[in-house]
Amino acid sequence: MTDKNDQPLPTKSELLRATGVAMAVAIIILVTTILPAEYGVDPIGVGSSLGLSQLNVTSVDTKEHMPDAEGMPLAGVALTRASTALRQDSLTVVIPAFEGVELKADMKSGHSLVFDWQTDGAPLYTDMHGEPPNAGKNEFTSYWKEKQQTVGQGTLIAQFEGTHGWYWQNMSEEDVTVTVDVSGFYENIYKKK
Amino acid sequence: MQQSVTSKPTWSLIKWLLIFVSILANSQLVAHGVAEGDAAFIEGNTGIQFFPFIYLGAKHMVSGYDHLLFLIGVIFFLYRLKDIAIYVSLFAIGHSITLLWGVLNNTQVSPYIVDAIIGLSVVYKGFDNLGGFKKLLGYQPNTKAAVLIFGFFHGFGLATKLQDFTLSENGLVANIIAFNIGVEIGQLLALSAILILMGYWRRTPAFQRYAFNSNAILMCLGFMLMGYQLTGYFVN
Repeated sequence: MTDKNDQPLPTKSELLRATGVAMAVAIIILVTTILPAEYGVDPIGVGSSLGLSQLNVTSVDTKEHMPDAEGMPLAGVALTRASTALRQDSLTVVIPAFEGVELKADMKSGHSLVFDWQTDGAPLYTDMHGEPPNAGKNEFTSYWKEKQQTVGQGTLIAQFEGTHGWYWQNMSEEDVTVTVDVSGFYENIYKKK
Repeated sequence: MQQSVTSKPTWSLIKWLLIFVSILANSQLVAHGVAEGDAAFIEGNTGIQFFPFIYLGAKHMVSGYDHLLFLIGVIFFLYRLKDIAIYVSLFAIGHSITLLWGVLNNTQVSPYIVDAIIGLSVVYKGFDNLGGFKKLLGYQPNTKAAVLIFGFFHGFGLATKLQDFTLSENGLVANIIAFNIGVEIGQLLALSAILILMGYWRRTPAFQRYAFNSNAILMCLGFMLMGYQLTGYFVN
């Protein structure tokens, strides 16, 4: 035995007590602090009374109210007026195997675009999101995230000035081609790698 | 003597736990990911970036408290440098194999499950140090095999961290190897710091007194990691 553990062996009850206390303390800390702060999971409400649940509010999943909202404007906007010219673009974007590509449009606040994209077969991990100009690394808002998506269509209304668009990630071994049709009020549309 | 070791585990356990948790809460340790700024680098780069990846590997290891807790458990009762070298090499061999294999084959494993198993490895080692297996099973399960096997899981954990990003195929192998070298450098640095501190601690009578409780705390932290990661698996 290279282990120089010259501790006397504990009795069974000492062992059980140590394990039990360790597990109980772990559960208490998990339930009261770690889970509320990390995931917003707050089974007994201690997290929200300590204010820890707030740490999780930023990651509100907009996707949750997407299906019900299909065809409905999310915030009750019926009309947005535009100051730029109407544009229309058809693009094909190749997402190489195991890589991710971003397609972004520069938009002013309140401007909208209609989009329709599809892959040539394989599903992609997608995150439709936007960020203000000169945004920091984490300063973005996700609108629509899917793990396995082959088609996406809808209308995007920019809630703030900046770049808005799609991030597609190809988790497969084959390149995937995405065809995108966009029309609306945006200054330009470009690929970012 | 045995009585004094285990007389009042509950209060000192909680006290030490609170100290530890407050240290964690105040620091920038990241268990589940590579820091955000580094993420941008990993995604943006193509080609061989040898030293940056060494740095990232080292940084991940030094700031990854799940790996460090396991290492503390492993060396807790190792006094001779030779033994430490043997066990740490086994751990390094284990996690290097699965790190390389996992990324190169693009093995898809849930990071939450892997990290929960890493939490389990901390619980296992804490229980082992308590003499739990010897007591319950009547014999000591092979400690070297355990370090190697859990090393495999730690390697999968490292692999999932790298796979979170779209790694460029260009220079991939060299970059993973660089990351792996960095992991070993980081492990040696962290280990040196742990050994120096434990060296002082072992020379005090407090070491014998708190050895039992310290390993109970280790188990407790391992349970926390498990609960944290398992919940993440079910929530996400």
